[in-house]
Amino acid sequence: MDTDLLKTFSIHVLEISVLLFVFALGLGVLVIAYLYLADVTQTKQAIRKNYPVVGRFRYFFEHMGEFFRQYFFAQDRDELPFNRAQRSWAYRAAKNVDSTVAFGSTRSLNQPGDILYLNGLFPTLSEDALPAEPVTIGAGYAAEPYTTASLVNISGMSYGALSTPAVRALSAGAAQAGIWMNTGEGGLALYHLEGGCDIVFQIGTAKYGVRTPDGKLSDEKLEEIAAHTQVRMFELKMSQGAKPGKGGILPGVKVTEEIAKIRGIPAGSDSISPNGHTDIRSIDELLDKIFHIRTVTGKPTGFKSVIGDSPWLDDMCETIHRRGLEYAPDFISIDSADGGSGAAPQSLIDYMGLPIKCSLPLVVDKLIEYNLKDRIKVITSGKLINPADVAWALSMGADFVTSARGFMFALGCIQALQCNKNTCPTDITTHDIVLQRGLDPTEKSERVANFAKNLAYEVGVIAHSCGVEEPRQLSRKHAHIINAQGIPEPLEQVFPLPDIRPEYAKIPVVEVDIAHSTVTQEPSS
Amino acid sequence: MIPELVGQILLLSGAAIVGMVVHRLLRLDLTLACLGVGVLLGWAVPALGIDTGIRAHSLKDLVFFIILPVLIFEATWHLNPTLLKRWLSPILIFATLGVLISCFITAGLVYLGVGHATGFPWIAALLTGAILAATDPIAVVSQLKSMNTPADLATLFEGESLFNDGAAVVLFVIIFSFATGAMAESSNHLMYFATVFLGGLIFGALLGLLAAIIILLLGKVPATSVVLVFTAFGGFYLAEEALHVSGIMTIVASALVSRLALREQETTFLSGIADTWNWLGLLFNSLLFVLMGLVITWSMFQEQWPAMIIAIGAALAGRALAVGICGLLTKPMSRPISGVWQVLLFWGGLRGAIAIALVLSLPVSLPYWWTLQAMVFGVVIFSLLVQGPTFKALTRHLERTPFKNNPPPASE
Repeated sequence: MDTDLLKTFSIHVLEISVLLFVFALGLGVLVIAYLYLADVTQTKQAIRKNYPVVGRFRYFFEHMGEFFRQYFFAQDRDELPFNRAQRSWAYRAAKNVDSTVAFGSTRSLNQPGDILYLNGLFPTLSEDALPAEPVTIGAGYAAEPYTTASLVNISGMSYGALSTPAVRALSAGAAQAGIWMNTGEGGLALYHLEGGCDIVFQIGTAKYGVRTPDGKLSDEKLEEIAAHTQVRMFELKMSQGAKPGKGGILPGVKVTEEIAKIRGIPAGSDSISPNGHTDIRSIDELLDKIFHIRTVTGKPTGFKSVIGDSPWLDDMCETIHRRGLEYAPDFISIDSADGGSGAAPQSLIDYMGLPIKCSLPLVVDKLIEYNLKDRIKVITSGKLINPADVAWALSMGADFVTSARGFMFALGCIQALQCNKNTCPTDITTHDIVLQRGLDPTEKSERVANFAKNLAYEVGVIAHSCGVEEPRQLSRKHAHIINAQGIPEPLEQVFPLPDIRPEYAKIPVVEVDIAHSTVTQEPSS
Repeated sequence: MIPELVGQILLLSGAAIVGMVVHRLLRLDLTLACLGVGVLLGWAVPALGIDTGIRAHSLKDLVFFIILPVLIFEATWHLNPTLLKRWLSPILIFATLGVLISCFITAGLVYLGVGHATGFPWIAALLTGAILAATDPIAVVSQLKSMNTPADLATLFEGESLFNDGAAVVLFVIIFSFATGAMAESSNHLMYFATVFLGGLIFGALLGLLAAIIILLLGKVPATSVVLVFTAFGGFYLAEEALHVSGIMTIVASALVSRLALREQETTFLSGIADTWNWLGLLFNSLLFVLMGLVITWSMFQEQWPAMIIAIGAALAGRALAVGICGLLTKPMSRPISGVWQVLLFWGGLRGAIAIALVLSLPVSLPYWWTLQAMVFGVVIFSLLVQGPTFKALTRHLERTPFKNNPPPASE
């Protein structure tokens, strides 16, 4: 009886499977027949017409390739803008997990332009190591100079470009790590202040956050912003790495009600800043404006620019000497041409401006030549997300380094390259509520802090290997650069330190007299 | 035999054409015009002693096998795929939960309103609810299109009514099989429902694919029309007669699949197909209302007017609740239906072709047949005479605030 039941049951199963199989087979044949006919009758794609059915694989694989490449085929050092080795370091630093590697370097160590540091025979012992030396910006010129020991800080990314949770995580993380955060050109949001970190307020070409209704700089608003004790410096943005010569672009999809309110623009429409400051058209006007902002706010003020055309540097330094050091910017932020987390036209992102490899030494040398290096601090940015890159910038003469994308990696960025589309899969640059669920500000603020601390720590490790006590003592004599033949040669030889021009060798002791040197004072020339 | 049949077909078609003429000359709504012509024909025919060939028992087959396939296929074919995809989740909520809510609320109110449990039992009330759950967008959509409202709203109307037609017909068929006792021995209702519903979808999809293959193989514009029209009729027939699955779902699936499979031939083999469906849709829609006019009698109003009024109130309440609840459910979704759109969906939910088709298909042997037919006719006539003409004014009235409320999708 039982066996009979089993028998009929198995026969049933068998029958159904056979039916299903035949059905699936028939369906398959039908689908292929359809694909074949559809391909030969269409006129849009030649490959599909000439190679019906199989030709479709090309389009399929081309689409899938994008995803597969990064997981299966791309080598450690293959991808741009950041390869996997660079990103892995950032991820591990952010998660505070072991960042050591084994069995030698996957870097080829013979590429022209690469930097090798020179270890001392007697490295600095751990007990002799010192924390990074604090640096004061605007000492003697600003009412409230800013002193900080931070090495790597968060570069300008506006609230708008970044999502709410991302800004909150960065703010809290920066406070924990004792670094500053630049607001970017989108004005100051409560989320920036929430974490309690030091803030550098950026004034973009549209002057969001400090503009009068007709787009001019508003002194009242400046004072309002400066009244926050957290706001430590003001940065006038002349140009940015991704798109020198073009203003900020925030695509309309990302302009939510809240962002529109902070910026003072209609929600949902593209937020496009002018490509330059309409009220700053010459060196004198630039210096006047910096002096003005510093006078109004009492805080150190500088400007940010990508270096391309450079004779204006001489012009600026000479003007500063002629008009007085109080007109000098307290800092210059040099952005690399390959910087840029923002939306930019491809021709500008790819081809415009000089990278910091050459612009940083250029500016530092000019400042030394004119004996302004102490007066004007140098902040630099541009893909400096690994310790060795930061160490290079410090040895070239930078006082601070900032990074945007390094901290985005710390937030969990996977380099999906969709910052301008509101579809960021990791919530950092999207205002889509559905996607934003994934970014937990508390958890990620830890990572931001870890990243900053580990980066500074490992820069220290490099410094100690070179035999100096702290990172800011690194100089050009501590590294070699690989030349075109693949041979390392001294960095000092390729970028020799210039001599101070004799006429500027002695800097007069400046007494700041704000009443005397007013903004309206015109230079004699 | 054949000349008689031809004569009957010509008589009905001729009436439909007269209806169109009336529509053109008197600027009446086409549906109303055809209804009027049908009523006149109904009076004239016995007087002239002509046999229209329309018998109560043959109505069901006529409506089901000839008129419904064309109307459903045409409605599906004309849906804009991108817009449909955008509004699919609200539409599906309306077509499933909305239909059930509308059906049961209407049924409950009708049952209580009539208050005659023996003459008009629960099952009759449920049948009424199912029939009145199907909405007809044709009149509303043509008004919307002439008024420059967003295409999204028209798609919402079309998609919603198409899918709720499908759901309502399946619901109707199931309740109907209870009513006639066909379901008594079949114990597994859920299984039955799934087979009818999913079976129809699968069969339709296969059929759509097959149609696409044949169309691509033939590669001629006129042949495309032939194949698609054949698919509409043949699919329904095969599904209902041979496979015993839902003919409506078959039609919907086959129209969707063939449309999707042929999307690259839009400008080549499909170039004339829109016209084919347009004239077929026009003719069969007119025919349906002529038929309705034919079966309406004065005594229906005299005897059944209280039932009609109850049904009108119940149908409006059912629709309002269905729209309100489903609208509430769409709130957390990425595309919520705004309050203004909900009001438009409620008032624009006219009852038309499908409701008439379903009620005409009821066998006369059911004891409550007469009441039921009167009720559905009452609701249809009310929506044609009152809701339809006032819809435009309502939209205009709401237009000052409305369409900004439902923001255009953020993806553009």
